[in-house]
Amino acid sequence: MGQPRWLRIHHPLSPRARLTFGLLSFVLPVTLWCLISYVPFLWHPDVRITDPGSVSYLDVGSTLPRAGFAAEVAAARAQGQAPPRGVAANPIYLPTPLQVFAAFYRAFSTPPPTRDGPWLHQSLWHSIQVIFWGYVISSAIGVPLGVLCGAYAPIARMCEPFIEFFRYLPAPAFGALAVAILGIYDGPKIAIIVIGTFFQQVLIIANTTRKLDPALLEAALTLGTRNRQLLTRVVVPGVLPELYRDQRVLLGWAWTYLIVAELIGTTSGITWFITQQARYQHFANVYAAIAMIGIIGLGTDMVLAAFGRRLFPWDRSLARVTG
Amino acid sequence: MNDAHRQGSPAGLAMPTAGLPSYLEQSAPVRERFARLRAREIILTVSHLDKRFTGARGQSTLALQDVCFQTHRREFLCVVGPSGCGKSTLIRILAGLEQHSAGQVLLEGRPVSGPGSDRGMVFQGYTLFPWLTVKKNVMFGLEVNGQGRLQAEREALQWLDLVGLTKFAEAYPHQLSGGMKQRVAIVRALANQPRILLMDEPFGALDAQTRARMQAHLQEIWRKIDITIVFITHDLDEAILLADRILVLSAHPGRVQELIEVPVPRRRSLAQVITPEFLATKARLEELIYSEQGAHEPGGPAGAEEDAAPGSEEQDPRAASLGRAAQALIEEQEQYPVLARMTDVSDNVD
Repeated sequence: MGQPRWLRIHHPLSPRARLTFGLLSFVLPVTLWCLISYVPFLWHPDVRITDPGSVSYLDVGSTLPRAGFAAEVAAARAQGQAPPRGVAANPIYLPTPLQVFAAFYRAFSTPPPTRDGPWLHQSLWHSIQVIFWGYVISSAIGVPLGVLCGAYAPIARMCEPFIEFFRYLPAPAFGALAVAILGIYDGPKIAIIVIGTFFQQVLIIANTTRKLDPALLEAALTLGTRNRQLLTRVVVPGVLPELYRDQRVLLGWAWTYLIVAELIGTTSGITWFITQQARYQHFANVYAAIAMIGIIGLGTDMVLAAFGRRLFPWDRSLARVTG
Repeated sequence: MNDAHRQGSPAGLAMPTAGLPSYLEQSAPVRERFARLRAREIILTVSHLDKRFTGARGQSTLALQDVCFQTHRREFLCVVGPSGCGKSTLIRILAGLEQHSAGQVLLEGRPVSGPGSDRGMVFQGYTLFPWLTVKKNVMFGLEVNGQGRLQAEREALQWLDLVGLTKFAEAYPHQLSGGMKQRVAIVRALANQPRILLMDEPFGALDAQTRARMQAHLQEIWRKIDITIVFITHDLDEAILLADRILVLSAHPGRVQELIEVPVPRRRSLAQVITPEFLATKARLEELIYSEQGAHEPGGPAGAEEDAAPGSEEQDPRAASLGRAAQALIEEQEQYPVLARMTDVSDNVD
């Protein structure tokens, strides 16, 4: 054949291959990051000063571009003074994996800079609460409305054109308005997440509901099912696994609105931590905080996926996705 | 009415296969069985049924024209015809899933409007609810019609026992083979105790062996319980094997060509496919379906009757009384435990 089996189109993977490729998807970018960080000749466009020599404005540990450094060295040599010395380094905004890893630990063990300021874990918990309420409020209206739109054409015609229009409006545009209405604390933040999620949610859920096999509805009709029962006994249970998958995707969507939402009113949560650290150029901490969001997001999704498999043992499409 | 549609049948026409008896010849026991069949009450009346589809550009196609037939209680009627003859449209109209354009469909004298649990339907694509176990699939119709959970469960288990699927009561449909799924679909429809069972090419998706087993199975079910069956198929052998009578439709538009009384004695088995009666019937069917000879003049004027408004609740006294009689019969049977209508129907055998 000349072609490995796993390279065939639509060929399913063995569990081991799935694990291997899954790990590779993380290992590859981290490896790239390590190479750039630890192999000097790959990038390292700057020079970190180890000895300022005679140049008065340089400090130990500060960085400047290679060209600028070379010019300083040449100038010092020309004047017969001690040239500055340094080592090749990456820009300050790209810390090494080890630095970020250490920051990960340090971020939780470092007390807040001000006496009444929050610890990192408190900031994170605050963010999670904002996400949770935004998502719950959006889903409480969006899911039933989406199902109704998917099931009943008149409702769909009455809601969807406006929602189609509204979903193009960027949620942060409502920031000032939300603050004016809901105050400066968590209210407007939750509102932004709701605005960002809700309109997509209705359309996605409605589409999923419309995808229900019409033959199932016909079968139910010939069995004597009527009106409300058709909705509660056929439509809803029939689309539930797909709906659950949509909800997982939408939870990710809600997270992407978090940072913008937390900047509105008084900055809070993980965003407050990130902006603080960036202000002091503690970029390792910034990366650590961003990675935390990713880890929480992926972690929740994996838990929800596993939960979904238990919830819908009959769902075949799920089996296809997970092998 | 059924006799009226035989007028076009060329009884004296030379058979394409020499040496076969005419398919119209019936042995004495078969003739007696048909006499008994005709003596039973009429379950379904289809009269002057038209179905017109309107296309996207406003052009209209006549899918069914002036279709008339009746089925008697406990009759097994197969509908065959070339592709495009509107077989599926016909059965979907009977099920109430589609509206007819003109004519009437009467179930025990009452006009059919919309789908209902008095007509069970089995689709080619199984259409089991994937989120329900086999048992709950069978319970579905009972529960939506107001049956209590415990009672529904008891009945469902009895029905599953009838088709030998008790072991799979707690399995999900995706764990079953095609034949098993279709058996579940059949008892799911039967659990509602419909007056008539409509089957739209139910074995079309099955492999030949499973199909033969399912045909035997269906005959077995039909023999055990009191049910009238209208069965759509494109497989002529299947039609002859199963049917009391075969309704042959022509294509474009679908019209009744002939209503054939199958002269093959009951009980039927695959061994009969080489008997003269079987071959004669098949020759006649092939003649009707595959050659122009079978085509005959259209019946009455198309659309003579305007829309019968199937949605209206018109109740002529005759229909009402028939309905009451049927109701009384059902009530009488409901005194018995579950599956009350599983009667000994030995008179279906010659």
